[in-house]
Amino acid sequence: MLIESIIFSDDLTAGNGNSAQPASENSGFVQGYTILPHDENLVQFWKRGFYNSRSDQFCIALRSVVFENSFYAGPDKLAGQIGPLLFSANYFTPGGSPLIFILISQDVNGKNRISDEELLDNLKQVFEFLGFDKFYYYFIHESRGQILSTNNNAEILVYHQSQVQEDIASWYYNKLNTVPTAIDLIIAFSSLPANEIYEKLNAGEHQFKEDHFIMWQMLEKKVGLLDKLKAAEILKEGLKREIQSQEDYLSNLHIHETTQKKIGDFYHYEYEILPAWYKRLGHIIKVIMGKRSFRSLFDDNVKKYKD
Amino acid sequence: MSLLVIAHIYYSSNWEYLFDRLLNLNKYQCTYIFNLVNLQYDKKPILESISKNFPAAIVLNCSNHGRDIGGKLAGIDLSLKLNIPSDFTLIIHDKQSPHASTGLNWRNELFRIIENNELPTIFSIFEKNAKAGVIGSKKFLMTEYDFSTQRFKSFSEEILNKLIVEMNLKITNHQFIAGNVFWVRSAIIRNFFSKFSPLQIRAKLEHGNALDFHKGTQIHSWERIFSWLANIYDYEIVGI
Repeated sequence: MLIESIIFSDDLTAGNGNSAQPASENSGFVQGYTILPHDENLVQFWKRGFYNSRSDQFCIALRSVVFENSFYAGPDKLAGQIGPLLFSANYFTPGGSPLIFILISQDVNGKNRISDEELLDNLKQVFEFLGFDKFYYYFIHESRGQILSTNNNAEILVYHQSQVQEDIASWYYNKLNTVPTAIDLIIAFSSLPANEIYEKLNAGEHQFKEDHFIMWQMLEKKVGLLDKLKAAEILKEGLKREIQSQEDYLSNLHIHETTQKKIGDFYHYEYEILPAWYKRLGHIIKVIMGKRSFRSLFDDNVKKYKD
Repeated sequence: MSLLVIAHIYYSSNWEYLFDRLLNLNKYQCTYIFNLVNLQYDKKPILESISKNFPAAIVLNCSNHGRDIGGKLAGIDLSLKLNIPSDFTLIIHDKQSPHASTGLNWRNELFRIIENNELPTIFSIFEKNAKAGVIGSKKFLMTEYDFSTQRFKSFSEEILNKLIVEMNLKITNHQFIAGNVFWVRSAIIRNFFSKFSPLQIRAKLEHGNALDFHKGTQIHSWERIFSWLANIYDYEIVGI
């Protein structure tokens, strides 16, 4: 598929953890998992995530209840539980930074059980604890699949089984017909197996290619260019760090405490400040002692020192 | 005998030098945990090399926090959570030391402990000397502690003293392996880091490429404490 997709089809908290298998190798999509960090299946999940196929990407969604007072034990505890997942080389990191979903649940009056500000503040503390400079988040209405808040400017389509009547293949085909170049990522929430969802999305895109080939080509070009841009941005960030690192090392050459500076100071105070006649006398003494050639006192082109 | 390797890779070049030597460990029962620092360079070549040479390796992509110590702590945390069984653990990173004119010699000397001709000696020391807890390069076995003044000759003195008090560490030998590349009995790692959370320690380390040229750092303090773990648990640090 041209457009990247994240598919949530399994729920560890529903007791399906042991049956949740990472997608097959090179599946082409990002497997989404909804987790509660204190779930006993989490250890099994870690093991699968780290020991199984290296090429498959995954990402996680946390239910907002995780941050409610009765569950939330502070950023360090939560970071300790989800940190190993976020550190996995398989974790989905668009542009080099991890992306996380928070599924927002509401009380009987339709109000969020925890404010967005508090939620975001807690989330920032977790990522800061883990040492990330940057992360992407999506706050999503748990039952409607609606994006409530995000810090990512990518154009995203959300498919939520409970909100869309038509088959996902037709839904995707229709979206492509409307705004083909304005889709960067698809997020699907469904009870169907992830592979099946992916096949359906693939079928929708294939139909679009057949019906609107030129548009499809434009889309392909756009996706290719965006991939190059992302790679360049990662490289740029790496080079910026490299420059900063080199500057840090170089600045060390000019500070008082360094060996280099001490040698420079020693040379200056022990030799450089002496009067010129004294230095010349010193050269003559070197000739007398046999340490320097006589001719070198008058000719810069001859060998100066004997050893 | 089973081995665990926790290797931190920061630089986009020179990891081949490390990998060529790590291949020497493939003849043993060995689990590898590689940490590739997040957002730094195109990781495709290194991932391909890991897949080819260390196919069962666990690969992390940690944030650039705490330099090699931060990456190693993330690896230790995961090894404890996954309960990876091992007798001896190798703590290593792709050392370069661009600030030191002798940086490459330093690395080559530290990496001697994974050379084919040294490995049997190292495992034999562990086997015959039950007190051997940490083994590393003798040339870089150092101490900054002056018993007569009871002070550290280090910019990190204040942080070290604070950590020693906070964790109630009893240290009688302050020798450490400068460069933080060594073999350690895995039981020491398990005992200490089951008591003190590796991720909690990591969170307090400095972010990015922190240097200790003019002031002490948590990172460089922990570099020393890593080696002292042997002494804390009544083991010895052995230089070869």
